[in-house]
Amino acid sequence: MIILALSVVITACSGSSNNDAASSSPAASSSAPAASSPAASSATASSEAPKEPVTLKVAAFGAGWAQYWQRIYDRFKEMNPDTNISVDIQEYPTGADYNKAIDVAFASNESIDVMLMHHNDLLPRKDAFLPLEPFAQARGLDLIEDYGPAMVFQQIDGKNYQLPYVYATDMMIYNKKMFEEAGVGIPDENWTWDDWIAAAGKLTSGSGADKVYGYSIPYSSLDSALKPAYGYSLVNGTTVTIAGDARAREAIELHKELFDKGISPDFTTYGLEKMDSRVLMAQGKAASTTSNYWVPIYMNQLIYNNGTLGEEALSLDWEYTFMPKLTAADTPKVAAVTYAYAFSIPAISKHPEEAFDFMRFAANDAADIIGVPPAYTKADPGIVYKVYSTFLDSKGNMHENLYPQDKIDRMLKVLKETIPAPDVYGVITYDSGAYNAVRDLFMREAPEYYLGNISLDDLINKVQTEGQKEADKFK
Amino acid sequence: MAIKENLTGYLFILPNIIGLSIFTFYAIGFSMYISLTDWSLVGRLKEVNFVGWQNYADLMQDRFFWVSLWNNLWFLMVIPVQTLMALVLAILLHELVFTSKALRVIYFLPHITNMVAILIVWNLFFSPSQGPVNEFLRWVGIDNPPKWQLDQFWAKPTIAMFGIWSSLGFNAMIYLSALAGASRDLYEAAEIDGAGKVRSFFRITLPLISPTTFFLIVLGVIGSFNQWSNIQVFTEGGPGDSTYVLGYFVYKYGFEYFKMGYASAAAWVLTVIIVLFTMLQWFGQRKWVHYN
Repeated sequence: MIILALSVVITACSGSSNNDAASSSPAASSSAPAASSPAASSATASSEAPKEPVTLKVAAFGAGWAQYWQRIYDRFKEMNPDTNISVDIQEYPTGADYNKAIDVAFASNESIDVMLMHHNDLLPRKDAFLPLEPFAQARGLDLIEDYGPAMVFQQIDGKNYQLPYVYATDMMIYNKKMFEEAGVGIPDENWTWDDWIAAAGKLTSGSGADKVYGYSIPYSSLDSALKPAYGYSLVNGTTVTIAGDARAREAIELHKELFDKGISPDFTTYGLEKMDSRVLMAQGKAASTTSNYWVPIYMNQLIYNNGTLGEEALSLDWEYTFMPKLTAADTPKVAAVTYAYAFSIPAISKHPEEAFDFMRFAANDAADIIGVPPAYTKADPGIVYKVYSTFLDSKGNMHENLYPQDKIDRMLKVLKETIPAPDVYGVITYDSGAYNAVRDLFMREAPEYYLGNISLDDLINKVQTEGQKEADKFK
Repeated sequence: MAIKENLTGYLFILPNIIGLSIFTFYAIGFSMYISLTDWSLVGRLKEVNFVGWQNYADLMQDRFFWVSLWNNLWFLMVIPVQTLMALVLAILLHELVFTSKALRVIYFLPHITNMVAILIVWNLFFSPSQGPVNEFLRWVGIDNPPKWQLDQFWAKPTIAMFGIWSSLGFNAMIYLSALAGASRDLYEAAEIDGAGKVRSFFRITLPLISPTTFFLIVLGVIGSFNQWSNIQVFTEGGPGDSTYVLGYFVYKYGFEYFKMGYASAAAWVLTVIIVLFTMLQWFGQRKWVHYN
């Protein structure tokens, strides 16, 4: 009992002593921006004393990103031979364990200078990161001009905490040959979800091993049923919105129609059988799905890295188009545009200025290393084609000319012309804990509706009333 | 001399004491401290505000807390079933002459196999539309078999079945060692006095293994209150809130809803409940546990 009591006292005292130590370091390092900035120093190199070598601690998201960071640094060093920056790349776990490892690192004041973070995971942790506006202003940069208007929608309390290297824009992918052969027409930006379900219904055939889905849901998580309600959020601040927004109702209902008519595998089947809608499409077992820029690169991985697909998958007649409208009256070409994972600087960074410069290089000049179409608006257009049509497999073999230029151009057209949902419906911010609690409640209750045990009104009422009680805990 | 011997003894156990102090006592103390704050888990401890007993007060008014506790109490009903089944299995294995060693290994396998892997297989087995369990039930003429983990009524029994199956081997092995330790003299004396097998079982075997039964029940109750990872993999607390238990409540509020102070308070309430149940059993054992 004495040891227990002592440990409570020790913990309380160490919390306050950490306060004093922690409060001095971020402020001190950010109080002298210009002198240590490479951008600034390049103009005054002749009159300045040589800069102190700086080693940036980079938290790598798994072994894959550890390799990326090394290659990014090698290119950075090649393009900046006089740089004082070196990197110490530390491999962290991937997936959910990444956040846990990062939380432990922050709580124990472990130094990290550059890292990846998912935007949704950064929301509750924003005080542990540095806003990027001061760094951008010191260098005469305009973050919105450089990374697009989606930067505005990703702001937290009016500040940007991340530099994106790619945007995850929701797009529809369909098998053009299957659509043409079925005579259902070629989808365009004016199609509604009703149009798509009608077409997909005609493309659905077979059963069991011969089943072909007209459309495949892309996720097993039940909250993805709300995705067609572009710009909708279950929670606004700490207020649950499901009862007051007709879009949520529409989105949930259209998924029931998809499942009841057998047009798409349902969430349970998709999850239990570990389905992948992109593989289903490549195998001819699905005529369409929702995805993003990643599909062609993912196909390359499946073909050349692990042999899941044969090379015939390259000749699959897939095309990208805009997400369908929820109703005929909605604005076309609207979809969710987020940057998911992006680069950020923790507040515990000892070298935030150098971290920003290195991070900016990674976002702007390394898209082909990471293998993504860059979010940087001024990136070399040739990089995008290279990203998709060349592939360095795990055995070190380079594969080239994988996709025709016009196919990539059509995808990029959809990518660029898609209007971010917040542009039309406004930006919604929410408490992350409240959102997670209400989302979990929705995911536990929704199966009852999809199984036909309760009505849609019952589902919405329950999520609204019980969800609001949960959300109130976070006020 | 005695002092020197004592000192030597303490020096030998010092590494253990240090490890225990850091990884157990300090962790427990830290958890108690956090339960009195509004720490969100993310960020640094400098953001912690002391809120006193507010987390505990809020917990008492939280519907989900009481639902979780009710579900935990429901799962306590599984313990007599799993204990009885383990005893029956142990007796069968004890009496069996051939293949008993191989069977012991087979029944013990679930205890040493990765639980997540098993649960994924169970999920497939009990899949309402395509799982072999429902396929078999349809084959024997049950047209509308239960939806198991997807049904609010059947979700708890499905998890209970898994709990019984996974603990059967371990509990049976514990009982086997108790049965092996029972003195043959008592049975021979009972046989001489005209007692049959059934009477011998109730008058000799059961009292002799009562300490083992007590041990397994205490372990079972603690394990039942602490369960959450099987819920996480199998049902995620659903459907509805039918399988939401306190362990899962603590995990969700602490690590996904960023209310670590609140979750720590719930963990401490759970600890007190477990201690109360254990003490209840400890005092109750005087009535039915025989150590001589």
